[in-house]
Amino acid sequence: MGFPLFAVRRFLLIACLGALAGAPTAQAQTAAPAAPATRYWVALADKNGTAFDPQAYFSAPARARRARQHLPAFEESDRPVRADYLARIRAAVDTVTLISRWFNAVAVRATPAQAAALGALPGVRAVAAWPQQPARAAVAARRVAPVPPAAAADEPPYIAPEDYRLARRQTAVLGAPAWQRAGLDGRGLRIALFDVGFRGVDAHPAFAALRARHGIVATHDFLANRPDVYRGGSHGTEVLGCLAGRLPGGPSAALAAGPALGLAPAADYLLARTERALRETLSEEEAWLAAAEWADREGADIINSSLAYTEQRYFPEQMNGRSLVARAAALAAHKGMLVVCAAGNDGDTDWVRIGTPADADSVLAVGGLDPDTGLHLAFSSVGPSADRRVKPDVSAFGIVLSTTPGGRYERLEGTSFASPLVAGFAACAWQQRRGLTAAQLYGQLRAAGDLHPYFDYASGYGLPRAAFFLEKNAGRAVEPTFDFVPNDSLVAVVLRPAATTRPAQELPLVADAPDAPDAPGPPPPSAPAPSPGPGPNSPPYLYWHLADRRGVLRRYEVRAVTQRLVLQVPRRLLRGGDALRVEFNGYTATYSE
Amino acid sequence: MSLLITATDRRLRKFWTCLGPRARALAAAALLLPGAARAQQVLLRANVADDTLLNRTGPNRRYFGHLYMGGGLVAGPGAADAPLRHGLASAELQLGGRLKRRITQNVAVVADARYAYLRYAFAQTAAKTFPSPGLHQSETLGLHQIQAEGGLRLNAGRRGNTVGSYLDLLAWGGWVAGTTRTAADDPAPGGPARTTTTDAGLPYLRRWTGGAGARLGFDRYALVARRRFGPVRRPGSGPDLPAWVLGFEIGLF
Repeated sequence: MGFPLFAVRRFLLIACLGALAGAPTAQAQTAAPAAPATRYWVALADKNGTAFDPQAYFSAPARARRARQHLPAFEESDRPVRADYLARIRAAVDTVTLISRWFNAVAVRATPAQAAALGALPGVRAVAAWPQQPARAAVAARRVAPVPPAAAADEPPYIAPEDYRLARRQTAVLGAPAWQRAGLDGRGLRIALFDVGFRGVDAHPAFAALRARHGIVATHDFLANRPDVYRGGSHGTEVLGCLAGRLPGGPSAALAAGPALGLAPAADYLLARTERALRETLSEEEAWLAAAEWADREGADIINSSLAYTEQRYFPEQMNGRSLVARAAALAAHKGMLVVCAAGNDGDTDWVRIGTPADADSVLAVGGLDPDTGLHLAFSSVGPSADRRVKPDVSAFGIVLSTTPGGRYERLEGTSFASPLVAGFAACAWQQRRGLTAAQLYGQLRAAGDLHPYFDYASGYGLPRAAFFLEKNAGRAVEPTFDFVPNDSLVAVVLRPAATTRPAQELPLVADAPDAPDAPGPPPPSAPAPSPGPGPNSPPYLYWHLADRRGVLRRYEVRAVTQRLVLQVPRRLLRGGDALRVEFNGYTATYSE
Repeated sequence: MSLLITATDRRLRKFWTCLGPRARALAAAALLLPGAARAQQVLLRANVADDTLLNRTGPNRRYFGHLYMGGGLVAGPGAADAPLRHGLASAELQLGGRLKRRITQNVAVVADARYAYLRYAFAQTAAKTFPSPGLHQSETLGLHQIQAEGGLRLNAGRRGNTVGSYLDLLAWGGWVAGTTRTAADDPAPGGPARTTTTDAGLPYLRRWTGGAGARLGFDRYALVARRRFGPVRRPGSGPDLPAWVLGFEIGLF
């Protein structure tokens, strides 16, 4: 709880300067109303009489996405707000900060008196005060390694061997070699990123290939209302690195494209700045909504939002998918986009829960896994949602190597980076099964989790497996690996001997590929995806939970298996329809009484 | 231990593979005997009911309690007979606890209890006659105070579970639990390096004090201004010392 003195001084200085700066400003605004302007959300009554041409409004990819998913060419929510309503509102308030087609609403900056007058205008259905407190990007990244010294311009940056290995594993566990063998790299998909800023993306060698093929098809800063997004924070640079960044190609070709840090290096990208890094204002959720409408219009297939709004604006019990950004995300999903969101980094804070919009029903919330253990990272926010839905949905590495401004690569941690890893996975899956709707893809991504049908509120359905999409027999029944043995008062879980026998590993005389996925070098063509779980010399994991009759978990655990009698649960805990569900080595079974 | 485990394992495998369900049940029953199963290493455990409890306490819940610390500088001109050294020499340090009771999203009441140490340092000029007529190298008055404070908190805007931006209107009272006058002098050559004289229980200072103030805060940080209404000095002991203390507070939560 200590607080450095320099910070106190800085705070006092800023406060005093702010007070001094504010006084003359207030005096100068003699014509301004006495009450300060604040933000209001003005819901409109109808869209009667508005003309709309989807051919002119939507881009060709947007129209193609709707056609592919058998969605109507447009809906009522795509029509513009009525110009006459808007003109009256503009005349009545200080500033209009957002016009939302989707919600048929307008966000304005107005005084209370102006807001009261708005309510009497024709066409205005409701006027509500907008939450005033700033939200914070709860998934801000944190460097976990010292910044390496900058390399000379003509040589690639130094990457420590353990970081290089991590870079390879973060995609390998998601099946990067298999996706590559299948020729799936996100080509033809459009991925929109909403973030703080993308400083350095326009110069970083990791994105040289992306820039060379004009893979960044559109950019927009929704806070400054201009196209330049390569300023502000660098969080977006780090997130984009986990989708389309590449490692250096080698000493002889510093700028050549090396191995990919994400799974969708060939996708097209829409970059939207919707957050301020340091000077927080009140417009992030509006910007998020505006960016979602923009992404829809520009034909985005996937939205990645490594942002989570938590206690600055909400209470934990409000994480039920009803926030503005959650409803906007749900509407984006309804319009055929897959929305992938970071769960949040509050697992080890008082907040604990996922943030919004990860709480939305149709948003794929991504938690963080420890690359060393394959288990939930303590900082990764946990579920369920406030209305007891399964969240997060899936998980990926929450500690990664990614790109940072200045042409560097750094080890970073946060669910911010698990989210784009899964977004890249989704791009590959959707490229392979282009006929899927967004809702179907969402369901299949959950089903692809390595724990599915088991789940818990820390890791969701686990790490998505590429084999689910790429192997024909991936969905076949798994041999039982354990048995439930009920006793008078206990139910025991006893592992079958065959499931606990580890086959001896024998090296081939000549390996098919020169490099294993964990090793530096190009990805092997036929090696299986490495497991992020326990190592070959560590005990395997057993997952179990107790769920009530609605499927809501009461408790869950992960255990290291060191003996075959691995679990004993009192039968009294299974009264009232509660069920014991256990997962071990890919097999899930349920016991209830 | 490893031999025992191996034997148990072999026996269980034999039952499991060769016998029917009843034999399996018997084997399991044997395993369930106390001591048969070693403790398993739990790598992750969560009790969802505990994690999802609805809290009644929190920064923007009905009740919120926390500790805080603060500091302030004595402000205002000193009495003619007691010229002050301003700055850190004349200052107040506070450590206390606060309970907030939220009434609406924008209105709350706060109650504090705290310890405050207030120190006045006097410039050693010819005009100084208080607290002692003589001149010293340095001279201070220290007041150890136990204070209680109540206030009305006005919050701006809707917010989540955070304290947010607020203005507190405060009224406070306190008991001066201890008083000291400390004077430091340079002794004559050949003596000790420094001589410090401390008088405690000063009869010319009042025991009870009180005043009003305001606090402008954002989350855990706040600027505070307090004014004392009653004099520090007892009647007849001269003009009063400065009544204002301006400073900051940091909430410890």
